[in-house]
Amino acid sequence: MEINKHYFDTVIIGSGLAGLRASIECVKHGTVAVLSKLYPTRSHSTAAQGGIGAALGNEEPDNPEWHTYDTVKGSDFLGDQDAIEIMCYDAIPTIIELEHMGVPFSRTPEGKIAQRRFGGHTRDFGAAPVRRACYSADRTGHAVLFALYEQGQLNGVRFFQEFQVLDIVIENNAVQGIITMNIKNGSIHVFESKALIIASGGFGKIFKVTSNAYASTGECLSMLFKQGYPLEDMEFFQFHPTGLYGLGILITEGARGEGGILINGNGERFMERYAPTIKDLAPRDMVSRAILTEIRDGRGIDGKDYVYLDLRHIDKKILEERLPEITTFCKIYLGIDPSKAPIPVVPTAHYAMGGIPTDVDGRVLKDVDGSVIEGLYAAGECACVSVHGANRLGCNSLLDTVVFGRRAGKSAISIIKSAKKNRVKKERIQNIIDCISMIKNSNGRENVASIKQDLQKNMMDKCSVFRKEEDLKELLDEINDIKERYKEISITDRSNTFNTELLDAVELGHMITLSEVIVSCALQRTESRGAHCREDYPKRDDENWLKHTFVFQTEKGILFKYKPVNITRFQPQERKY
Amino acid sequence: MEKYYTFKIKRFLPDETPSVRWDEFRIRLNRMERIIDGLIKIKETRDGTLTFRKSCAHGVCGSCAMKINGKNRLACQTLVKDMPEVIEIEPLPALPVIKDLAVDMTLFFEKNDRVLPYLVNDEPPPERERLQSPDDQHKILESITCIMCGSCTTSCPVFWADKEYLGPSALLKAYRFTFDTRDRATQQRLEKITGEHGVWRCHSIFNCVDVCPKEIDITKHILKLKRLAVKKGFTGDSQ
Amino acid sequence: MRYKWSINSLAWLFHRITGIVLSFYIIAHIYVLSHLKDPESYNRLMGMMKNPIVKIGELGLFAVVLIHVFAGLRVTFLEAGISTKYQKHMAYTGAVFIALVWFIGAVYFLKEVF
Repeated sequence: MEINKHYFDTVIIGSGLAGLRASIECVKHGTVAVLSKLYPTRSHSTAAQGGIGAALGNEEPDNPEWHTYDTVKGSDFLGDQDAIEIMCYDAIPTIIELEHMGVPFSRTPEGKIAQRRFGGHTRDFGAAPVRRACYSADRTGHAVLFALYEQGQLNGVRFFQEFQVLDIVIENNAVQGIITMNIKNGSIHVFESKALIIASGGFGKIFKVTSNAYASTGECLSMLFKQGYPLEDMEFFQFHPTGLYGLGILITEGARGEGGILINGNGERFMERYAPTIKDLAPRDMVSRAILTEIRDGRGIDGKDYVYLDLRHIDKKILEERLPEITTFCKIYLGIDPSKAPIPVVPTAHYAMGGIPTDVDGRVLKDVDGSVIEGLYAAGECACVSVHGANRLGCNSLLDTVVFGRRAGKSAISIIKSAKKNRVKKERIQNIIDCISMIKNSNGRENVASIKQDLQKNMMDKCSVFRKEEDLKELLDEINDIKERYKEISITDRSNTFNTELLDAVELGHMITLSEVIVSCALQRTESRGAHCREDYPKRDDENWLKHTFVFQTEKGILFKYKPVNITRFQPQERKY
Repeated sequence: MEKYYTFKIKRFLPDETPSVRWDEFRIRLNRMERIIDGLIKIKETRDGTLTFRKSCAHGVCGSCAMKINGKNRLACQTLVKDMPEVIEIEPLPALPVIKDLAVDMTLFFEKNDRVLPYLVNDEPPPERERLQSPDDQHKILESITCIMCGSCTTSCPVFWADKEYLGPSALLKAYRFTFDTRDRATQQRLEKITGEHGVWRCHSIFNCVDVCPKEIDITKHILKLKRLAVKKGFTGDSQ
Repeated sequence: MRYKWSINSLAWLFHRITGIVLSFYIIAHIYVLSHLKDPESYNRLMGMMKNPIVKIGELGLFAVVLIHVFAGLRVTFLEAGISTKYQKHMAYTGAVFIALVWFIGAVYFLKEVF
């Protein structure tokens, strides 16, 4: 098998917003390679619709202090407040810098960046919704992604598209490099670098109904976990309340920001009961639980398992101007016009609050004491700083990716300038080649697709919005079963050229690992907080559980350690809206 | 609601002989399902070697552009209810095929690099955002929607005949920056697009407009670029 | 290259083909006109032109000219600033006009000739 070696000062896995922003930051100080398993503009960041939050105050008075409070409260007080403060105060110069880079934001009549309301964002510490999300129609992610990609090209970043990462090599507590495969011809490419920034995104594809792309499978997290490094807060997975019924396609929170409301089978605006002050703009975990409770109590539309998102009362011009993409989705996939008919929606797996633990400068932590792995950084959805705690507010993810992508890039500069030497050992490379050969040439009787479908269905049924102990224990058994079945998979495509079946098999192995991690973490956290809702422990338990979960893989099995939450500004209170 | 559909797919498997063949698969699909759902079903249950690109599956990433019943479309945006019972699927035309429905998009992407595809403004930026009126932003509204799926350029007969032609996508990208009121590189960009394989090779065939999944009127933008070039005195003598 | 045709790509195709045909025709036409120098060769050539095949050819030429003119006008209008929203309308309308005008012209022409 052909083995190619490359050296770059910094290698970045993932070409979404976080990866691209990091690349722009460190390319001024050394060579940068950005790897993606897709073409860069196809990254899932492009699907983000609603907006990127910053207290610019262009449409109404706003304050980064309120933004910090909203994010802390939205995270159900599990977010690290020093990191949140940094993010919310950094937000203003970040957005302005994005605009200078050329992002085509929608504008106010005075020509400033336009802002819209979003779930959980308020003024005066919770008094009323505030316009904080800067947007570009409902294609904000696309607009920012293209601008960052263009700047990356302008600044000389080297892109390696359609390369699949197979292994992350860390030895002597320092990054040595990564082993990848060029998808187009199956050749192995080894990248040695001083700094490695992981920006590989989320893993929504482990659930059956998700807004995420097929590429969102979380291999990099699994690779680190299998080597004994921790993952943080994995039990917290956000289910976005408004996904198209039957498809999971995202309908942005911005639709509710522009005035859309949720109604149940009785025609009632049910969010008034769950969040009397801000109603439909309550944080996403609360809205998802509200929708599923209504459905469970028989108040779905015609008793069925969905509710309606009603946009009929919104000015047609606003729908055209600010929500054109979701209008198109409804027309194409459901054959309905949102200005004339309500949209059937149901919660969909959307965002991973947990991930690779990092500090506020993107350095990956290897334990709860704050010790780091030399040369390893992470940013974006795959990382957990933690700014989102137990639940993420809308429009904070785009902000998180750009702010911490930049910070990770910046902190990588010190390593780039050092004289660190690194090598990926031949044995490691041979190991990977052998694994790949094994999958390709195996003659088992299991099929990748059927195992994946079973995994996704079970995760959706037993570990989504509402969780309980019996279900989670049963799910662990089912995952063990699936692990055994995975050992027997075989694929039909034996070629080296663009072998997507092989990649599906590789991804599935990692998805199974992550599922086991998530379910184990969900099982051990005996409280309900943010997006993690245990029906058998329905209350939030600050006395015992105001801490982050760190999960490790050891020879004796899965080990949990805890890291205290950094509380600097706001003491935890009851989360009411 | 469920019907049988016959998918006739043009295969290209470089490791086999013959490497080119047509395969037929008869599968059951709900009428509201997409072509991409059909392809995934075939890959999962009939032939694991079937290769195609996919990511978002709802028309925003542009990975799954292919020729369906003779016309370029996104497989994830085409519902089987709008198709006849026999559906012919081929890769995008005029680009080298890597395998089955995945083509080598390098030629397509490098055209973008030729039009200075980034905002150029060397004036010191203001403390806050540069101001831009809503009307000015609307000028580029359609052109920022492009997802670079490749459907337009590969459907253009001029591109079929002349692979060096910039094509609708790159010209749209040139428009996006030239008409962005914050950009200052109009002169350089016009020089790049008024050469031998540039904007003058567009003959208003409109194939691109017919296939754009974002419904962008690309030819309208190219015509605006032509008028701007004429106004500024470019006649094709440069680059 | 198997690709679906539409009214707009057909309009371009016919514009191109008629353009090439007309270029060859111009050469033939100049050849004919060059015989206007003396009455003998003029009469001989005019005699040849009375051949029915030539007359059918002239009908064809009429169609070719109409197609090229209308397709060309359509492109000119679009480039001059008429909204591209109307490009298909112009193509269909043009096609109808060409058919009508050619048919009426053909009727009169054939009446004269036969």
